[in-house]
Amino acid sequence: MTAEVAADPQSKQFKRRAKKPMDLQTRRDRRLSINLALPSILLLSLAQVYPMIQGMIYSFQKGKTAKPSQGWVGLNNYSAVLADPSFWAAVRFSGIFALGGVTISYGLGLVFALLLIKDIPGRSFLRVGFIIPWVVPPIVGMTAWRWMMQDESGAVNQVLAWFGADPIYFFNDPTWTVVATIIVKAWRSFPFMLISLMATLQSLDGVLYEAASIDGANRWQQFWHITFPQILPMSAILWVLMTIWSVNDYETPYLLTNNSENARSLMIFSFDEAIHRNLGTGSASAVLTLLILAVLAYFMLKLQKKASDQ
Amino acid sequence: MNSHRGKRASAWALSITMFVVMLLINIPLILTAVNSFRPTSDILGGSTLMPDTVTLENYTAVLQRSDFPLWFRNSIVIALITTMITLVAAGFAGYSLSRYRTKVNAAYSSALMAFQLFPIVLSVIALFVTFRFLGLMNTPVPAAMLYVVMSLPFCTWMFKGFFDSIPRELEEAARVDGASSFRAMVSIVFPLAGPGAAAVAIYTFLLAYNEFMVASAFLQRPDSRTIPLGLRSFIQYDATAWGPMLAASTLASLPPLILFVLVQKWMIQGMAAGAVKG
Repeated sequence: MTAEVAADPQSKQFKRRAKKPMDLQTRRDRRLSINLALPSILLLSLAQVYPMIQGMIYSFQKGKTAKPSQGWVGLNNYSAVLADPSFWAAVRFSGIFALGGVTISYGLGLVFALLLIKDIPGRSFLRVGFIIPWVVPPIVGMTAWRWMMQDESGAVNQVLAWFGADPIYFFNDPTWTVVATIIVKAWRSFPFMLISLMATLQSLDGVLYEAASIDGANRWQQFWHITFPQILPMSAILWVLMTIWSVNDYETPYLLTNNSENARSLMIFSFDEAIHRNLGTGSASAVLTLLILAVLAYFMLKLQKKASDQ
Repeated sequence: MNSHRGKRASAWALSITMFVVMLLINIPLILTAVNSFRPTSDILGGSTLMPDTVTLENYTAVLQRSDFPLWFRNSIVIALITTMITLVAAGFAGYSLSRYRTKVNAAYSSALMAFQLFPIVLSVIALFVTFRFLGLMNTPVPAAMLYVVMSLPFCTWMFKGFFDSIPRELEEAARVDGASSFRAMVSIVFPLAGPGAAAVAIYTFLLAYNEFMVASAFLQRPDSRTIPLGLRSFIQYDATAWGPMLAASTLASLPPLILFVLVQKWMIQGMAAGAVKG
């Protein structure tokens, strides 16, 4: 029986992460470790690796969903997509949507996290209450918001009327449509920020605060000089992660605006193009989206490495 | 003594403020639930927090004159299939990542991270062609398969976190007693991961129950619709049927809310650990 060492001494990552690496004493254990991952690997290959490769192939071919692969066309699909104003409108929308959604949801998540880590009565009840927008089905949240925003009798305009403001027709005006999708996106995603930031805040060291309050630092100074630097690595990860999820979001703009042409994200554009019009250009658009996301993911992984090095 | 009382008072003040903020945050859902008990004609006149006429007619319309029960059944079937497959696949893989630090596992772990960021639309496009060719459209297969891979990365990490907190000595003891590694895992470690498994199960169930885009691609026949698709067909065919729509929304939200409240403690911990640390 050959003695094998589980933790590869060359792998710094494992050295750092492993609390107590267990040696693989037998070949059988190594085989077991691979066999245990096999069902997942098989599923991921079938439902993600295979379609990704197939999608890339489609992006270089002429075709429709009913009749795919009607011959190679080189880069034609890509040049067609890049020349299509709708594609650039989708890029622009996805960019603004992600930026706005991430900023607002992070701001809300952070403020609520700072308030909810305090030892106040009913804290766990409040915590659950703040997460509800993330738990209900998106169709329910989107329908409710659409109903509240759609015309002058909607709740939002009723409130505006109390303040003497003119009604806003959110879904008739291109700018307000985008604003509406951002507000609703932030509403749906701040709970995730809240949970993650609360976990980070709870792991922080209290000693620094005591020292700071002895030194006479006020709350804002404490936050800015002590808390924020400590949650910055996690925050950076959350920003990138949420940006990626926003670019990947199909449901929020589609369901809220009822597929308005003023709120077509890259996902909606790629999906509609591929399924209903042209499989080649639709796939090309999806591959381009993948490239954009890959750049973001690269930064995300770097940030994660940096955070776990600390 | 005085400052102690002042501290308590300000804690209560903050608590009450946060309670009000919480209600404001959830106002879209509160308005949905309250107005679902009003006749559509009243709703069209504007939403309200205090209904003038209370009626159950919207609920009878949804439950007796729409396909809501069928959509509900379809959603539950797909969500259960997804949950069972994910529990097994993510449980095994999470255990492997927790206990064995091999090169394969290192590569697999980074691949999982990448998959979490993968645009699902690319999968949907190519699989749309494949499943149409295989004649599996409008069956639970395509949706369940995609939901499994959508939830796998996150659930694997959640499982890994829970297994990490279970001491290895337990399995080592069992193995000294002659049990195989696999048996030690199934009979000793898995039962201890029960609360973790519950959190994973409910996370996956909610993902499958709530999802819209994949479902809209693969479940196009009216009798194969899940709840999100069914609710959308409501507004599509009659944009003014707000009463039944709000009642259906309220009913559709109940299972996720109940499940979430049941396991919220475990899920919040698992999410915080799994989502970002990888």
